[in-house]
Parts: sequence; structure tokens; C-alpha cells
Amino acid sequence: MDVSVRKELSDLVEKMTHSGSPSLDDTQLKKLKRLCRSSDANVRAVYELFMADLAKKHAEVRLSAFQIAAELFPRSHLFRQLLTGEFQRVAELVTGTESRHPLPPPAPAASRLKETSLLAIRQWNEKFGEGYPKLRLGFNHLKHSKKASLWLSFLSVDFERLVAQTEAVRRQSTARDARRDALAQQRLSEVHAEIADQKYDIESVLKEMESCFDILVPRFFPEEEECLPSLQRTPTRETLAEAGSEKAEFRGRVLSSDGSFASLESGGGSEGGGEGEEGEDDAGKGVKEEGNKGEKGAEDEGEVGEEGGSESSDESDVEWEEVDPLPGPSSLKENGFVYRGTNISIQLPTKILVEETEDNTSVLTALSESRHLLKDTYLPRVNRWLEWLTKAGDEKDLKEMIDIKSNILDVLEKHKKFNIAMSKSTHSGEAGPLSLPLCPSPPHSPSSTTDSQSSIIHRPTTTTATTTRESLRSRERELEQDPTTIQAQLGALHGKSSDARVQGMAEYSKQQLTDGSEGQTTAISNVPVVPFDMDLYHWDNSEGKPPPIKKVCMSSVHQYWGSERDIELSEDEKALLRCRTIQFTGKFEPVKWSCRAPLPSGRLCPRRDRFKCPFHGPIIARDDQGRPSQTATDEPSTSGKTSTQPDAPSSNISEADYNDIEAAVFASKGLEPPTQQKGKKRKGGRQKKHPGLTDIAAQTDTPRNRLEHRIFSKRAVKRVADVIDAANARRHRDKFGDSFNYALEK
Amino acid sequence: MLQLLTARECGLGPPWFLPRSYGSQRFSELELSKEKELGRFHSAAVNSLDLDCDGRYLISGGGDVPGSIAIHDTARPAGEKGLYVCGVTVSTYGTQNHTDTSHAVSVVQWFPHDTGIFTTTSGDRYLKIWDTNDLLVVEKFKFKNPIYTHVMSTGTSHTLTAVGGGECKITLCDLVSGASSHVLEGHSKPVMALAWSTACEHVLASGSQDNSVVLWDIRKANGPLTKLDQHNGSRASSDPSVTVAHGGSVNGLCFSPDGLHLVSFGTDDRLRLWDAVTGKNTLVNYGRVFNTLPKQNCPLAFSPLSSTLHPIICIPVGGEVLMFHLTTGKKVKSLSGHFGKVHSLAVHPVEQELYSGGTDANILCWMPPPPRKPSLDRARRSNATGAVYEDAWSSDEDNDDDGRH
Repeated sequence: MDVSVRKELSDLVEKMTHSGSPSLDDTQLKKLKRLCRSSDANVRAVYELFMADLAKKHAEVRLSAFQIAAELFPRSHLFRQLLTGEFQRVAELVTGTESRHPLPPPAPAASRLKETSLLAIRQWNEKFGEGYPKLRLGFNHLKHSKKASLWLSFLSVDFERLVAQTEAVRRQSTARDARRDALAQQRLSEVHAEIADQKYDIESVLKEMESCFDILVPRFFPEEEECLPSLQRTPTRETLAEAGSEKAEFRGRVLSSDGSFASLESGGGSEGGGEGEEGEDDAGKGVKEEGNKGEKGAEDEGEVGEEGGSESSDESDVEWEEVDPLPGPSSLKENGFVYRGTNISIQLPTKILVEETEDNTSVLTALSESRHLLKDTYLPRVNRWLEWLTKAGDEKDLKEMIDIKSNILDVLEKHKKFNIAMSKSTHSGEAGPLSLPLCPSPPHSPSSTTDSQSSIIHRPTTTTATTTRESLRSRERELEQDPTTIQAQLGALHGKSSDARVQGMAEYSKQQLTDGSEGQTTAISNVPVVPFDMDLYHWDNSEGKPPPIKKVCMSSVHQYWGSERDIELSEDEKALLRCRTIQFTGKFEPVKWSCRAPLPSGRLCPRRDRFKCPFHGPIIARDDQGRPSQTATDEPSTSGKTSTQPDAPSSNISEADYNDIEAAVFASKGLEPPTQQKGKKRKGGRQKKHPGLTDIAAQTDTPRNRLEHRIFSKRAVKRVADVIDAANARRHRDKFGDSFNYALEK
Repeated sequence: MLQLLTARECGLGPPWFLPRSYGSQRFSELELSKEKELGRFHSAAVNSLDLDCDGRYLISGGGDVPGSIAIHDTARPAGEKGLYVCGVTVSTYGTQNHTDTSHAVSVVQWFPHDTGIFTTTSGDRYLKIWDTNDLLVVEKFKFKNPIYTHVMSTGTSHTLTAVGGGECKITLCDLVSGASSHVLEGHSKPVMALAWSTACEHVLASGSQDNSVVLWDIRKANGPLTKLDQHNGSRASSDPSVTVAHGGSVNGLCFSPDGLHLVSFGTDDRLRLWDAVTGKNTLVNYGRVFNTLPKQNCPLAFSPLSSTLHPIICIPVGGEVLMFHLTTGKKVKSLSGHFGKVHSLAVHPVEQELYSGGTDANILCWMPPPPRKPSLDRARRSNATGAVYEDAWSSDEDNDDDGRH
């Protein structure tokens, strides 16, 4: 065999196996295949090289080598012979199934090698197992060995096992399904029982609530509910006449719930206006009623209709008389004239406001109780049942449940529409949030009612306007502005007093504020305040009287017999009496800059020293890289720094800059910079032979390693040993130091 | 070959010369059989193998935890699609008859003249005599110490089975009487290897952990015939008590089929060839043969009598079976195919066939390659499996070549 060919082959194989890449290079592989094809000797040589590489303790090399083998194995009989001849060894090196010879690091390449090799061996066995008994044996062995069979099954090689597994999985899943079905069935029966138990409870609660509603807001013509939205009627004389007063009241309620508002022009006054006022009262209670003029039987209404209807009607009667602000119309009314100049606008609220009175308290309580019951107990329960029924797919019960749920929701919705004003009992109409302004609708005679009614009919445009609560409010405000309304009057009455009070308060405070002049206040605020001290004690002591202390005359030794003389103070001392010493320490200003010298870690020094960093010297201006610069103005400029700056240019050109310049100079001269070359050479010496391969020799930087390095370093061990020795010696000395026997030993 | 044929035609040599030389040559060409394969039966190591006197039934004792015994019919194919997988004819598990089922079968052996009886020993310290047809134990011999090996006599005048174990002595069990006839004492340590002479049916060789190989005549109960000395008396003292055959315990012993030689194998990694008549060391150097089964009896196998022109000894070493020329000590071949240690060997008494069992639970059949057939036959073969053996260089290499040149 030609030496050059052999050399070429070995170079090629080494290049391929030591590339470190997970797949082979195509051109190199083709070259290798061409060489192998040319002669059997080359195949032999490649096989030898392959085995040599396979024995290397590097999974990447092994992987690449095995990939070469996988390329050659299906192609060359000789290669197959050679490989199967040593199949045990190859399998051992490649699959790592022998626990004594695990695959070498790195782990990812090893697992990949294992996977590829097992797959390849399986394929080989399928294709060539017939002719190569060792291959067959090896595959069987791998199949039977525990470690490899696990992998093989993982790679879906062991089809039987896989099938068995899927069968087992299927059986498991069916069992699980059956169990789940049984559970669902059981649950369903439970739900059925629950429904049977509680259905009547729910229905009774619903019924109760409905009847409560009926009590609160009686329903006479259930068919009218259907035409609620379209109902925009101004009650005509005729209809009102036809229907009883109760019906009229109902209609008024209906209208109010519809949210439309009707404005009617009260044309004439009559004695029967009481009914009309009664209707307004109702509106004040939340159920707004159009004025049913010319209606009779107010007492009937009071009985059947709203709570306290009759009495409120009386009240309102009185009120109407009282609060009539305009004398004109009233006098006119008194005189039997019909006052035609006033429009009565009735705003219908969006919600039905039910006011609690002692009559309906029990009803309301029952209502709220049953509502709580429905909302908190039955609705979630029904929801749960619905869920289960949906899961179980029980059609009949499901429909029933849905009906019940919708009923509950309806009732709750209805309840929501009833705005029950709690604890505002026995308040009459005008105190309510929507108490209607009582307009001077003069009592009209039956003869004039027809006229007024006709005038109402002729004004349909205003009735069609829909109102919201805001518009109602704004309307109220307007009414307040209108001095004809009771609101305005009441507002005027209340407002005056409160306004006056507020005004007074404001003036008082203003006076207080503007008591002194502006300059004085500022001066006072700027006066420094010092705590009381001896200088203030002596502040008015202008003559320089000495402080009342007993001065012991030291000339006489005796304590009592000594002559007591007046103490004379000198001028200085007098001045001292009235002087105070205040230590000025200055104000602390935090350091706003950091050292920012480059650290070996690549970061900048984060120390915040005022003048000088203990590690990097005086603080100077530095740029982003931490190099000293003059241009960086945001850095603090201390006096020390400015003094260093004149000679900064020399230090400013850093090593890197020098290197750049040097490189440029040498490049321009076509030379290699000597220092860099030196560095490179040194680096090249250390460089690995095969840069593509993962360096498995490199010590991994694990916490354990780091700790070991620390703990078991020579110095640390010596230190610890010294400490322990010293402690032992001390203990020994303490114990036996007194014994002369031991003391002699020393 | 042609020369041999002519010589035989001319009567130049003895008539046995041609078949023996051809047999020897074939035996030296053993390789993993492509035609014959034994089905996998045991789930653990195959500890012992034995072929009956006709070379048809192979009995194997497995190291499964309830010891298992299988009898393979090597002449009847049971495999699929032409592959000659020998089926298990009979199999028995230790659970049926072994009193202590937690022990593996260590040695199985056919009755040398028949397949009606076989004997087994296992870790439960029993020597058991089995009736093959009923697959039942007909006789049991209990021992106090573990049994390393047992050998049935090939002779016709007696039916003694020599049992060597941890008792430092050889017990001879008589199958006829069902009792131990006598005991041969002389070893100071457990006996690990035993072999009956193939030439003289009363001569027994034993190897022990005391490094000695002793030749016994069972008719002479008061002492051994001779103690083999590895130095032939030249170096050691003449005191027979210190003469040793090996530098380590002897765990393999085998007489050549013609009964002229004895081969011993010791844990000193040496293989020694002794003259069975004189008891001298022939000093054939086999080189260093690693003893990978130091704690048990190491089976040795000779090439059959039909191929003893150049007798070959087979020794299991690790996962391989090494074949040595008996007289020259040259290594002929190494048979590698097992994925674990080889624990047992069996040689066909007539044909050039070798069976080996190992810890990978495989029993491999080693046969010489089929003779090169005429072209007609070859064409037929190539249709069947020849495609497997052909090179398959794909055309992309061609294209590549064309593109480059």
C-alpha cells in the first residue's frame, strides 16, 4: 500500500473525526468513499483508523468515527466483515451498554452516539443480519441486555414491546373511561335526587317572590306586560274613563317602567284634582302615575294600590295647597279660574322605586330573603346541576333546569328593577328622590277637564322623548331654577340659611388670614428659632449683672468664714454671658459620583468616594469605558482632580490605544508587531490540536470544585491545623499545667 | 490436498493420515456458524455444556436462579427461513426437582455411552442422577461442601463418578450401587479439576487449589500414582509433598483423545502439557494464557480424534475461545462471538464442531466454513443470500469520480 495514500487516508479520517461537528463533511466523505472504493487495502486502513478513533475517550470523536463506519458499512463487504469480526468491541465502544465501559464525555455527544449507533445496528441487522451471524448475535444481545433494550424500546425498535405497551395503554384508558362513566352516572343519579328534592323548594321560592312582586306592584292585566316596550300612551280621557281608577294607576306604573315621560298640560282645575295629586304622590313613591284627572274613588286606589296611597293623597292635597308658591294661579284657582299658563312635566323613572313602609315591610323582608336564597343558594346549585346534566347529556332534565334557571334569573332581574328604598318609611312624596314638583294645577271643574284633556292630546311630541335618570336630574335642577316650583321655594328657604352660614365662615377665615400684612407674615415665617438657653436668660441683662451664683473665695480656706465679695465681671465676660456658640458642621451632601475605574471583571468600579478611591486613586473624569477623559463634564471636578488633569494626556492614551497605533504602524510597514506576535505564539502553543472538539479535560467550574479549592488549599489546611493544635495545647495545659509531673516534661 | 490424495492412492502413508490431516485443517478453520444457531433458552450464563456420544444432543445447564437444564437437538432444525436454529428438545427447571431452587446448575454431563442418563451438580451441594426420558432425579448424592466439578468415567468396567469439591478429597460415587464407593485423599486443598484418562479407564487426574496435579489409579486407594512436577524434579526437592504442577491453583484438566497427553490449566495463567504415561512436563510453551475463571472449573476441549494429526486444545479466555496447537504451543485462532465470558465448551466427538456457552446466555456453534462449492451451487446461493455479501458502492461516488477526473 502506498504510503502517501495511507497518509492521505489517515489525515482525512482524523480531520473528519476530530472536527467536533455532529455530522460529517460531505466533500470529505465523498473523498473517503472514493478512496475506499479504489482498493480493499484502503478499506482495511480506514477500518484500522476507525477502530483507533473509536477507542478514543471522546464521545464526539467516537460519534464521527461511527458515522464514517455507518457510511461504509452498507457499501463494503470487507468493511462489514471486519466490523462484525470485532462486533463486541465496537458495540461496547459505541453503545456504552457495558456498565464497566460507559461512554466517555461529553454527555450530549455520548447520548447522540448511543442513539445513532443503536438505530444503525438495528438497520444493519435488518439488512445484513442474515449473512453476518455476529451482527445478528450482537443485535440479539443488545435486545436482551437490559440497558440497551431500554434504549431500543425508546427508539421504537422493539416493536413487540411497543405494541404491548400501546395495548396496555389502551386497556388502561378504557378502564379509566369506564370508571369515569360510572362516576358520572353516579353523580347524575345524585343530581337527579337533589333536583327532585329541591325543585319544589325553588319553585315555591319563585312563586313567593312573584307573589311578593304582585303584592308590591299588582298586576291586573298580564297581557299588558307584553306590550310594555311599545306602550307610550298618554291616558286619554276616554280610556281613563273606561278603566277604573286602579287601571289608570296601573297604566301610570307601566308607563313609568317603560321610561317614557309624559308631559301634560293641565288645563283646568277641578275638585277632582285630588286624584291627580294622588297620582303624583304615587310617582313620588316610585310608581309614577300620570295624573288621572277627573277620576273618582281615590279611596279605592288607596286600598288596592300603593302603600299608603290614600293617606298620601290626602297629604299631597294639603301640600299642594300649602306650597303653592304663586299666588296668582292659586287665587285664580280659588276663584274658579282655570290656570292655563303652566306646563306640568312628569318624568317617569327608569326603575320602579318601592318605598318601604310599615305596611309592606314584611313583604319586602320576605322578598329580600327569598332573593338571597335564590341568588346565593339556588342559583349556584342550579348551575352545578346544569353542568352535570350537560356532561351527562340528559336532555329532559336539562331543559327543565334551563327553564328553572331562566325563571330564577328573570325574577332576580325583576327584583333588581325594583329599587327598594329602605328605611325611608313614612316619608311623603316630595322627600322622595323623584318627588314631583307640585305644579299649580288648579282644581278643575268637571267641565273644564275635558278641555284640558284635549289640550293634552294635542301635545304628543313631548311625550315621546325618552328620559334617563340624568335628564330627570337636569330637569329637577331646571325646576329649581323655576321660581314657580316647590323645589325652588324649598331650595330658597334651605339655601338661604346655609348660604349665609357658609358665607359667614368664609368671611371669618378670610379675616383671619388677612389680619396682618403680607410682609409681616413672611418675616415671621423666616425668623430663626433657637431653643432657650443661657444667652436668652441674660438677654435683657444689659448691665452685666453676674449670675446668681455663690463664688467661693479661695483666699480663705474656711468654708463659712470666708468674706463674701461682689463678683465683678469684666466686659468680655459680660459679652460672653449673652453670646451663644453654635457649632457649624455644614450640611451633608451625598456623593453623586462613583470611581468608575475599569475593573478586571470588565465592569467599572462602583465605589462612591468623595475625593479618592482607596483602590484607584483620586476620582477623575472617565468616559464610558472607564478611561480617564477630560471631555466628560458630568463627572465631578474636585480641586485634586483638576490638578491632576494637566498631566492627564499622557495617561489618557491607554494601552489599547497604543496597541492600535502600534498595529497600524507596523501594518503600514508591512511588518508583524513583535509584541503581539509573541503573545500569539504563546497562545498558539497552548492552543488545542483540534479546536472543534469539546475540551473534556478542562476542569469544570462547579461549586464543588471551587469550594474544594478554597477549603483544601494548603494555606487553609495549615491554618485550621494550627488553630486546632493551639486549642489542644491550651486544653492540655489547662488540665495538666498544674501537675508538676507534666510540668517537668515541658 | 491433492498431494494427500495421491499419497493415499499410492499407499505412501497410513490410511488415517488423510482424514486426520483434513480434519485438523478444518478444525483450525472454525468460525461462527452461519447455518447453525442455537435458540436462546437460558436467561443467564450457560455454565455447562455437553454433547452426547453421538454428538447430536447438547445438554446445557444454565445459571438462572432456579437452575435450568435444556437439551438441544443439534441435528433437527427448528428455526425459520433456512436458518438452522436448533430447538430445545427438552427442558427442565430446577423448580421441579431441586430441593434448593435458588442455586444455578454448575455442571451437567451425559452418561458417556448413552443419552438415557445425565448427571448434574449445582450450588445446592447435590450430585443428581437424572433419567432423561422421565426427566426425574433418580439418585442424589449429598455433599457437605460446594462441588466444583464431577466427571463420569468413560470406561466400561465401572460407572464411577468422581466428584471434586471443597472437601480436599475426591469422592467416587457408584451409580450402580447409589453410594460412594471410596474416597481418594491426597490434596490439601479443594479439588477444582478432574479428568478420567481416555486411555486407561482406571486412571484419574485431579487438580487442586494446592497447585498440584495428581494422577490416581482408583484401584490403588492408599495413595496417588504420581504427583506432576512442573520442573520435572530438576529444581525442586525430590520430596513429593512439595512438588507442584502450577504456580497457582489448577482449575482445568483434560486428557487428549488418544490418552497420551494431559493438559492442565492454572491460575498462574499457564497452560501445561504433560505426558500422561510418564507424568513429565513436556515444557511446551503456550505463552501466557489468562485464566479468567479462577474460582471455578475451567473447561478445556480437545479437537476430536478425527482431527488429531495436529491436535488442538481450546481454552475459554474471557469472551473468546483460544485454540492452541497442542504440540507446538502456537495459537491457531481465537474465536470471538460471545458478549460475555465463556463458561463452557463442548466438542463434537466426530465432526469439527465446537459449542460454547457464555455469560451472555448464548450458545454459539462454531463450524468450519462450508467448502467452496462449484459455480452452479454458488449461483444458487448468491440468489438467496449473496446480495448480503456484495459491495454496494452507490453511484454518487461514480458521479463524483467523473466530476473530478
